Amino acid sequence: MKALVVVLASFTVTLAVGAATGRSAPRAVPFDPSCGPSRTTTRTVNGTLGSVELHGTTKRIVALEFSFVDDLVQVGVSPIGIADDHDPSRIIPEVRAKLKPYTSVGLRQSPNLETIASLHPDLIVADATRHVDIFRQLQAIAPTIALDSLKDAYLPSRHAAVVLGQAVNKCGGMVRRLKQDNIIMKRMRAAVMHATHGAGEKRQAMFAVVTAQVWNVHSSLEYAPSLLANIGIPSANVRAPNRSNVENPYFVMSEEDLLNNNPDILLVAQSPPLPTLFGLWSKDPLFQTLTAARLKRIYVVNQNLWSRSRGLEAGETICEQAVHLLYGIYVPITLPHVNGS
Amino acid sequence: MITASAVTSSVATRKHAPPPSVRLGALALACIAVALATLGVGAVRVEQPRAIEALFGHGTIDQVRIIRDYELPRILMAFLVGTGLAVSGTVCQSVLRNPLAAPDILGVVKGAALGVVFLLLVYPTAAVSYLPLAAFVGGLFAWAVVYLCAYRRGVTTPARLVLVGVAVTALCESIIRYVLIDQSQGIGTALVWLTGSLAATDMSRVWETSLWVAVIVPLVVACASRLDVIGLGDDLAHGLGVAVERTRWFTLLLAVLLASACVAVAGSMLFVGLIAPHIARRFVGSRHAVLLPAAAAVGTLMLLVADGVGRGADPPVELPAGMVTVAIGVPYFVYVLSRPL
Amino acid sequence: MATVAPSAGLTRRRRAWAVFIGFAALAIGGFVWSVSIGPEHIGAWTLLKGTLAQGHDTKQLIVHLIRLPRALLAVLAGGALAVAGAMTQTLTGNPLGSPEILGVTSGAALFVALASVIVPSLAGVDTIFLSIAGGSLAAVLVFGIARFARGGISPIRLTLAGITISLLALALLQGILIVFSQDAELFFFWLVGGVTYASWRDIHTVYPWLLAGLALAMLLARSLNGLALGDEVARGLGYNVGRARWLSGVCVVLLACAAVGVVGPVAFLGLIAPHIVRRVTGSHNHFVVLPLSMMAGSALLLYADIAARHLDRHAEIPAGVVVAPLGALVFIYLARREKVAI
Repeated sequence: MKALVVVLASFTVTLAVGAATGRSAPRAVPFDPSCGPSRTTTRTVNGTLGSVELHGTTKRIVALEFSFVDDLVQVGVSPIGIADDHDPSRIIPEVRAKLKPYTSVGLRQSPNLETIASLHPDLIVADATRHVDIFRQLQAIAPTIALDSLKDAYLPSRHAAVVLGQAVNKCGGMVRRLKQDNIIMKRMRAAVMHATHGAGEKRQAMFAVVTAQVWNVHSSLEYAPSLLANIGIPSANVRAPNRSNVENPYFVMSEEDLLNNNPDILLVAQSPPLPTLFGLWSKDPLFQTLTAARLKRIYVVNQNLWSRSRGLEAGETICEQAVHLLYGIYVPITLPHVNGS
Repeated sequence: MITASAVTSSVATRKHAPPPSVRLGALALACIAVALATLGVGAVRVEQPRAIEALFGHGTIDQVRIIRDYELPRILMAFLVGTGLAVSGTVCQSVLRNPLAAPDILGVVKGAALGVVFLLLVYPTAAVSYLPLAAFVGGLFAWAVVYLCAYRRGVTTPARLVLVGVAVTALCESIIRYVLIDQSQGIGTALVWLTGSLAATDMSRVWETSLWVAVIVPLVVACASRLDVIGLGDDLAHGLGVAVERTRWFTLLLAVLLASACVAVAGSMLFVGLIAPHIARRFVGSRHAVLLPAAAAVGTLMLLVADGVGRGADPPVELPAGMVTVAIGVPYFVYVLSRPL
Repeated sequence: MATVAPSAGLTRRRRAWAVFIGFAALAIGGFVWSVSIGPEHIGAWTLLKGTLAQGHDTKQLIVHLIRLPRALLAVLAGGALAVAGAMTQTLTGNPLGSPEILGVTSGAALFVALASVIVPSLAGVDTIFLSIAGGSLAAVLVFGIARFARGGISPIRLTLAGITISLLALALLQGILIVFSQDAELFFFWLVGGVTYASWRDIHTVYPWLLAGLALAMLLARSLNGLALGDEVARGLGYNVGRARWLSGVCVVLLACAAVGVVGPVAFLGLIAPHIVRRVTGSHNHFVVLPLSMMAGSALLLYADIAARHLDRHAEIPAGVVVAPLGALVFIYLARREKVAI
């Protein structure tokens, strides 16, 4: 059995070598919101999967999630490469209008490394959850920063925006843009207050993405519900603790669960092909017993905007739509004037 | 059953055809030719003579970089994984005396998949560099379960190994699905791995895998004559003085180690281990000394073609090689089977 | 079998009846239990009313429109899959047979996935037709592969061919989900199989096929008894073996694919139920095994769904999550014991 010994020995050696080469888990680095006095030369930017050293102004940027694209165009930076799932229509029109021509680098889930490399980027922005397995390869191409997009509620996504601003050396611009965003959100909140005569919105809204097979609810930990909660529209109390990971923000609901939960407001995003479960259920008499159905508080919204996009402008557009749908009030989301910094 | 008469008859009918060793050489040349042909195919197209030149460092920096850093590791990995899976499959088919056996159905591939899914979804904070290790351990563990369950009264008959393997495969699959439902957020990353892809390869992984393949494959080839004898049937093999159970145990262990190592880096690449031995057998006959290298060559060819097609079909989207091998392989398999032997 | 003393035959028949009543009781018990579970607490009287009529009261509506179809679909699909499994076992001479092992359920699932992902306009077509098309294709491939090389179709060959096609269909499906859909999370739930989203529409879609399939199965019971004796003996006794095989295959595909079309590819149901029946009754007579398997399958899916709902009070877990590991464990146990020829 000498051969066996050789095999086992090489196994152990490989294990030891692998462990010793110090490829430990990237540690989460604390968030640093300051712009600092001079960030024009060398700066260290802290992302979720580690920090990166950047020099000068980064011009050639590859963004691997829609929310990053959105945030970048807000400060006038147009990425040269975008992972757009090979479908430009997935980028919301408001953001697409601000984009200069770019190269598609493929699917968000598995972007094409060759294409990215051929673009000679000086910065890559990846998602901390989706791209964790190719992070190392991305770093080999260009300085890469990983931010939370997929797994993110509304307020933390604004941290991501600041870090992006630091990375592209438009920190001041981003901070100003965020101030403008704050003002817009204040307008939204004021509109909600006004519509509810100062009492605040007491009704709860449920946001669900529905296909032909499942009714998938986004809990208050997810982007759209937390965004709405931020302007005063509370999310339906649907948090379902699940055994292994309390943080799972999506979960599947049956019709009876929906009836039992009976949200006051229902926001539905349908995912093709139609008819989805929503189309089927809305025909049955039980569905009509839902509070939301009786009071005509069911709204169908665009899946791409509400579920996939998650950027600054997307957030503002979602709020604009929500306030318009719920209260018939039109709150302009034109950027307010803010003193330059 | 691969009887002695079958071995002699298959070689005898080829009296006027070139001897097996020459055919083996032809296969090897085909591998190199296809490897060079697919070099430069991808989202960033590099035309042929330039591609080969770039391999040696001539050409624009871009071309050299694409070819050396991205294409070359993938092609080398195709060689390694194709060899590993094909050799593993050949051993399985010979030892289990069934033309439809493969490491896939022995629970190895799904066990490895389970290990990966577990790591990715249940311990998402763990380093992604542990993924190959998790796959490897998962595969071995599943194999251990299969072997122990199939072991009865001192013997594991091929029939029982196969059936228990199928059951464990199904069991792993059902656990995988449960975990994926529970942790629906990370499904995307797990799914890419589960489909089998050579996309995120780099030279360090190539070196690690080549270590495994370089150690184990020669060990298997050294058992070639014993494998020939085992194919004749347990009793006959005993009569000829071969320790059947021990040989079966040892060679299957090698096959499992090989398959686990390949799956660990390339993901759940099915079908190569099943079909490569068949094609090889048609070319060079059933003598293992020639069959094993031939199967390795065929496996390599399969992966080279699949990866090439996957890269070039719809750039920048990359079709995973695991999907292409199935899509192309199944019709070809059916065609091969429909012709008389 | 013909040489057994009459008294033993009577005992066996009595036993068969006893088991039938036992399974029926289990199934009914499961049905009642299933209908009574839910986030909304509903009293027994309303449950009864809701089972019988739609009514106008919300609670009654819940029972009639949600809980009742769910339990009913479990009964129908469970029964169909179990009968398909029993027939597969005889058809292939493989005690470990089931529609999954034949690759039928995976093929069906693949086609349904293809429709909803690649060609959405196709999804308007009845899912059942797609399901049957996929299942038939898979079955043809499996039989084709299993015939390969000398030796012909043996139980092991068939099992291997089936699992190969199953794995391949799954690999294709996963690839498609990655490349086209991007909404893989949402599809996986269906892939496990369950009755969470059962509706009357599903029941209306599926029951004609199931009734036809079950009727065909019972008509074939005599031929199946013949097939079980072995091809030569059966031919000698005057059975048309080829036709019986072919019709049985069609029946299996019909039943399994119809079930998969509405509940998703639930794994291993068709394996467990017939085995339980055969163990408990000791009978191999298809006039006994088929109806009893149907009862057992219905009960099984009902209880699996109940168990899955209790696994996590807040989240919906599909019944397939419970059935599949259970089935796999039974499979392992059987694989160890059975003397299956290569």
